[in-house]
Amino acid sequence: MQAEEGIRQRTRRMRRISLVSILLALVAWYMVTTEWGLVSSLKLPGPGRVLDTLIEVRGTIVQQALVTLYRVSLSFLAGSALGVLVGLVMSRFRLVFAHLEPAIEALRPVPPIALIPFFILWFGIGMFGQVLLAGLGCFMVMVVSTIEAVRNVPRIYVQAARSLGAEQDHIYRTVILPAIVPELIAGWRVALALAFGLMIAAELMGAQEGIGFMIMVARRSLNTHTILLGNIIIGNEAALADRLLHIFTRRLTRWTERDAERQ
Amino acid sequence: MLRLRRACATIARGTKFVSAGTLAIQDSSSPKIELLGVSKTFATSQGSVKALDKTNLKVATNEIVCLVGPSGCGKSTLLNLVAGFLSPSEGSVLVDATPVPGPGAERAVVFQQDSVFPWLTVAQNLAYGPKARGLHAGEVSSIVERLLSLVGLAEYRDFYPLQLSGGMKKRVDLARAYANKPAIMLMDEPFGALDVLTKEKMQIELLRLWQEEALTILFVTHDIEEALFIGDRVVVMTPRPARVAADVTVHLERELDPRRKTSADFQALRQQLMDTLSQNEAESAA
Ligand SMILES: Nc1ncnc2c1ncn2[C@@H]1O[C@H](COP(=O)(O)OP(=O)(O)O)[C@@H](O)[C@H]1O
Ligand SMILES: [Mg+2]
Repeated sequence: MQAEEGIRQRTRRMRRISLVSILLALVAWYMVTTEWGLVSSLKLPGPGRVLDTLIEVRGTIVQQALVTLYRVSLSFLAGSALGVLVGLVMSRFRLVFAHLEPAIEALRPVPPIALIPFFILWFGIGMFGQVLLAGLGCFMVMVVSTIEAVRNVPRIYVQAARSLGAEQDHIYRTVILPAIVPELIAGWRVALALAFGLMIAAELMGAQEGIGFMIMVARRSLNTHTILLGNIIIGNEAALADRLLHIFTRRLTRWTERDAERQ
Repeated sequence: MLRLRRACATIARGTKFVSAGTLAIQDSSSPKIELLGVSKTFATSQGSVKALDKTNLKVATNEIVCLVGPSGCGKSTLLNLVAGFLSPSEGSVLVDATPVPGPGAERAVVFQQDSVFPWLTVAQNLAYGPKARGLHAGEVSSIVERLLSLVGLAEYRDFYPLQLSGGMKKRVDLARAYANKPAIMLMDEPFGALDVLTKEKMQIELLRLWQEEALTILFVTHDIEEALFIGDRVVVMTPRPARVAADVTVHLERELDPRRKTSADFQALRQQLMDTLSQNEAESAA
């Protein structure tokens, strides 16, 4: 009990420290840009200017932010679900692995961003191509994470399941899948951040809405305060999404040591 | 054969010993488990390792046979062969006179390491085998209830293994293996990591289980007292590659009282087995 109380206290202290450092960064930003005027407002707009912009465009910006968030969620959910599924099927069937592995290994080192011109050519500047691109990134991350995670499942669990009368497919559902979840969390977090990055890149290069689109339009008129605002919104969205992912995955890993400690 | 006889000759009075080749079988039916000239060689990056060398062993139906031997001699390998996780390089491993095709629910395994599924609760772990075999939900839950009370873990049914002590986890492991009503239990130093008291309790729990139901047990241990306490027979193995060095039938009173471990007969027998083991090791070192 006392240890738990200690952990809770420590968590609270950590939160306070994080909050203080955020405040300090904000103050520094204000001092450098506005109070001391060390950088021109064009190169780095101050907080006041950004806040004014936010109030100015508040109607559309919420809309743009939601569009981007929606596309990222769609890419992440579809891409990583398919990635885990394909990773599992590849681990389960050697033949599938032999077929798919060379293609995936050949495609994997190619940064999806380099494919954007093709995607625009093929799918236009609508949402479909952008979701496909970010989804592809998530897919690649999760296929590889899943295959590696399956390799790391202790053999003893599979052996135990087999001696308990389980068939191979049943073992994949009831042993392999739950056993890899803790290892997949790292992959999911990487994939989620990647999805934000790819989505913004895709929106920058050709889109009709979204935060990336907004940044691109602002760039044309050197409207740096809107660009900075767009960056701040993306950062907050990504942090929020990571938080949600954390809350969701914690439910899946109640049985592990990492969560037993924190409760 | 000669060396084998000599090893057997050191075994005390009050025990009947049989050489591996001419084992007397209790009943006329074929043995439950039989190893015929089984060798197992592992290919490793440092060359091949021979873990078993033309080993012969018979285990009769409802018999408890304990395997003892120096660590690394090939006991786990032997057990894994019977479990069907490994296949022999040479010879045959028979269960009910049929070659072992692979792992199966009729041969339950309790592993040396912790193998309780950490992502399932106690009750879910116990239900795993019956569910995997496709029993109805009603049957599964009645099996789980019975096992929970058998191993005294009813209060912990919704706990995750992480929240249990080592001894409790081993009880879950044992109960889970037993949930399928296997004909054979293969146990690899199952109580090796437990403290003395818990170990004794587990030994008695196992013997109770064995007395109630038809069960053939092959039990690996490095603890000679444990082997003598629970075994009908104690098979001593040579250092790697393992062969059967001595095969001792235990003719002691089969009481479920751990105090009998301190009796003179028991201790004399223990000393004899110790001597066989060390003599063995000396011979192989020579
Ligand atoms: N999968 C394996 N690959 C290579 N060598 C192995 C493997 N399993 C066991 N061995 C070797 O076989 C020998 C016997 O091992 P094991 O049966 O585990 O011994 P024991 O259980 O009697 O301690 C050891 O020398 C061990 O290193
Ligand atoms: Mg072993």
